[in-house]
Amino acid sequence: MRGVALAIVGAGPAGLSAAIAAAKCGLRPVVIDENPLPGGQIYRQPPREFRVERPEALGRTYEKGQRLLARAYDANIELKLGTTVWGVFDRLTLGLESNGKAESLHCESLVLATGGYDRAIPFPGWTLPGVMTLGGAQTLVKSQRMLPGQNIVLSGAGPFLLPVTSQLVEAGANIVAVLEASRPMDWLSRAGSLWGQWDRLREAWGYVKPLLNARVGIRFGQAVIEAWGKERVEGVVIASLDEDWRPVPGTERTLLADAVALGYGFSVNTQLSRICGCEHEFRKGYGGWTVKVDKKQSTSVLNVFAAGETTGIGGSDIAAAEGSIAGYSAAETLGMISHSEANARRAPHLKRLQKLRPFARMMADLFSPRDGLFDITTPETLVCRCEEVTAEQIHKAIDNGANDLTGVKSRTRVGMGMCQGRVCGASVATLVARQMGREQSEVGAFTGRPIVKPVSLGVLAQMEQGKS
Amino acid sequence: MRIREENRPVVSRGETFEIQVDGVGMQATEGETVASVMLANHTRTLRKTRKGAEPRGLFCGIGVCYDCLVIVDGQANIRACITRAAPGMNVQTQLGIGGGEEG
Repeated sequence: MRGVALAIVGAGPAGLSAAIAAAKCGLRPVVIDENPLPGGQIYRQPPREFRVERPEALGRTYEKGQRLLARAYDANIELKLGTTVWGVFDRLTLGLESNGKAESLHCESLVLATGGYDRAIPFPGWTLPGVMTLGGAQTLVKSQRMLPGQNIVLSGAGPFLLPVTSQLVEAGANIVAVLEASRPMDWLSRAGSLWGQWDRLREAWGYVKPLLNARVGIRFGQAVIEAWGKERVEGVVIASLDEDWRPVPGTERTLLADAVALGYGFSVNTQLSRICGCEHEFRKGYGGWTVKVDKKQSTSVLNVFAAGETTGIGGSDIAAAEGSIAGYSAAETLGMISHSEANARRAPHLKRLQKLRPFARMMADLFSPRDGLFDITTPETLVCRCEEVTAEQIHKAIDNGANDLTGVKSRTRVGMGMCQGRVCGASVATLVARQMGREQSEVGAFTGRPIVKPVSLGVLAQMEQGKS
Repeated sequence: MRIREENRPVVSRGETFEIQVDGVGMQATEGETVASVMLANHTRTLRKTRKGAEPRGLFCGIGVCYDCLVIVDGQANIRACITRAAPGMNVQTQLGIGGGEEG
């Protein structure tokens, strides 16, 4: 088995920043990512086979990503791309799979920078082809240069709606409607937190301008509550939301659309951190269950660090700062730099975090889905897409004595499918908590299993025979 | 559909080639994923579910949800959203998790 000093899982802003920091201290970290190119979701690149003729048209985020990638390519880093980490054994041995080939990698120190993904709230018809997440629609546009459809409805809450809509408009899509669950009135009480966040405001304006030019309006206080169609989505039902984001009966209207993009904030990937035995904490508005870290980005497990969205949603700048800190902390643990040097190197990034975090807190407060919105998950709605489990089946499981996620899972198979509960976890937790009148933090989470991503028996056999 | 970039292209695509999807030839360009090729060729249903035989397509688009599973060259449960199309590739839409075929 191959052994390395430092392995980093995830090649987004957090993972790459950790690698760059560690490389500065004399390490040669191995960065593993499932995608063919580094950058994570935020800096997702068009494939190498496409030639970018006008980078400026791909926006500020693209250029910022190019700068980070250039620094990563310059640094002494080994990038293992197109490689899935499907399991962790004894905390510091990773099970890897690439193109059907298995390998195990032992490391002395590990940084988990596994990121997050969009959270959708189930409603009737959300499984129809053409209904996708905001991130899915954005990936099609910015990486594949594809439009998800011709007439698009976007629905969700939070700042991610803006860049996705703006990119779709610039790509020539017809935007039927953009629905934002919150209302500008809600924002006024928080406006003070915007003072000093000039970068953020400039970024937002960059996204709003194309919408104004294209005369795309945002409908506040509304949401998609149903999608319909035969073999694919053909239209949606939208409704106004009350103060608690509950759909108001009688306000329903129908819109025709062949693509729908959804996003109510993000969930974070904690499968690997769970197997490692790291302590987690529930942070509402920050992605639910997140990895608990200290100021050095150390988790509760020795030599295991975490950075970026997996420790709580905060955006790419926070992720990059946390990543740098994690990289220096790992280098300190491995004896590459002294404690005082590590402190000195971490200091500017800690200061930056102090400046950035109030904005993330405001976003979490304003755009975390309010309770009434979960009414769109009607009893017949499929909640677990993989195992095809409805909300009603989950309600019955609770009536029959299940009182946490594990209990519901064993009775209904919810969360036992191919995605391992990544998509339905937050929804099931919400349903259980609501029905039992408890907090989501009290109903637990799906437990991590040693195999977090499906891997063929052939790959496991290779491991067994010691071919790796 | 592919973004039209005739006038001032932001991105130029690479060479084109063909893949087979359920026995039908579909035009692909280098760098495209299987899901993109199918979407560009008006095919949104990537699989049918095991219990309800309901159509499913691209959902998360980033390899998380495993809803876009297809059979590629006989191997089932391949994520169409993160798998690159390659010349001569034989793709089949699948039922459930690889039902009927191997895997």
